[in-house]
Amino acid sequence: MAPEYSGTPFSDIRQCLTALVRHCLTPQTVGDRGAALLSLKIVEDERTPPAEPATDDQHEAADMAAVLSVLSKVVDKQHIPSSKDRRVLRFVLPIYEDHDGAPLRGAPLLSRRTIAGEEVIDGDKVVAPATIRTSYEPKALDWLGVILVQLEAERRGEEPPADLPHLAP
Amino acid sequence: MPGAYTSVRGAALVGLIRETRSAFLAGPPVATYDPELPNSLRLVALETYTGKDKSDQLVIVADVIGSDTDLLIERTPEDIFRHAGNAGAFVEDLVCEIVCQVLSTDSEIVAEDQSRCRTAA
Repeated sequence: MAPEYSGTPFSDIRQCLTALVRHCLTPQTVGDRGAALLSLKIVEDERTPPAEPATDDQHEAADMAAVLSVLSKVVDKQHIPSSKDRRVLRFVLPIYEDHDGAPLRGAPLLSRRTIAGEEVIDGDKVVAPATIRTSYEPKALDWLGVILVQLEAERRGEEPPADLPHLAP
Repeated sequence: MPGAYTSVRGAALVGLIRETRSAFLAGPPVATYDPELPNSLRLVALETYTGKDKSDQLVIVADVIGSDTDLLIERTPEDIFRHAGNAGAFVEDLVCEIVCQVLSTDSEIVAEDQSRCRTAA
């Protein structure tokens, strides 16, 4: 039987994801608020260190690239079955750089939630940003956190924690 | 009598409560845009409030901080503001909490809300 999970706890990862959503996923916020993600082996293994001597900006860019690479791979149909969850994550975190030519990276949270509300449902139905915040985002971030812990446990050759939230698609 | 809300002061706040009650009872059990999302009292309150112009929202907030400062909030801040991270979201959640708290004295509303949330669970 594989050993118990020894990586970053789900609660820390979940809090980190919430902070990144609120402050927007950028190299600076990953540096300031992304410690729980940067501590994951699945992120560390994805990181290409900058040539030394490197500046703080270059280290932050390398951290950001590693985090974004992992999140981009995880936010797919195989790991997150609900298309609504995937869309919310892509537009609100954001994973996408832009939307219809307008930058998402660094955009205010309300703008990202407004765009997510336009995109989360197929067709021309629009969901209010407040509904994205309270009804869609929490579930999508829970899913992402659970998947990150499961992948981290697998990478470490450990059992995922038994107390992970059980989520319905 | 449902809709009297004599314990609440402020015409705009009472108006929001009445509007939320009517929209909730008239609406389908799930959101029109998403059959997986229960059209809960909280969702209807939030969408009724945030669907208003900023000027109308401000009149309601003025009632909360001006006319009705003695209204007790029963749930804990951790429950109320769980998904709030900025000032606008805190205000939205506070206003909707007051609306839901007042309407939770209405047994018809409570029964319907519980039914909608249970069906979706």
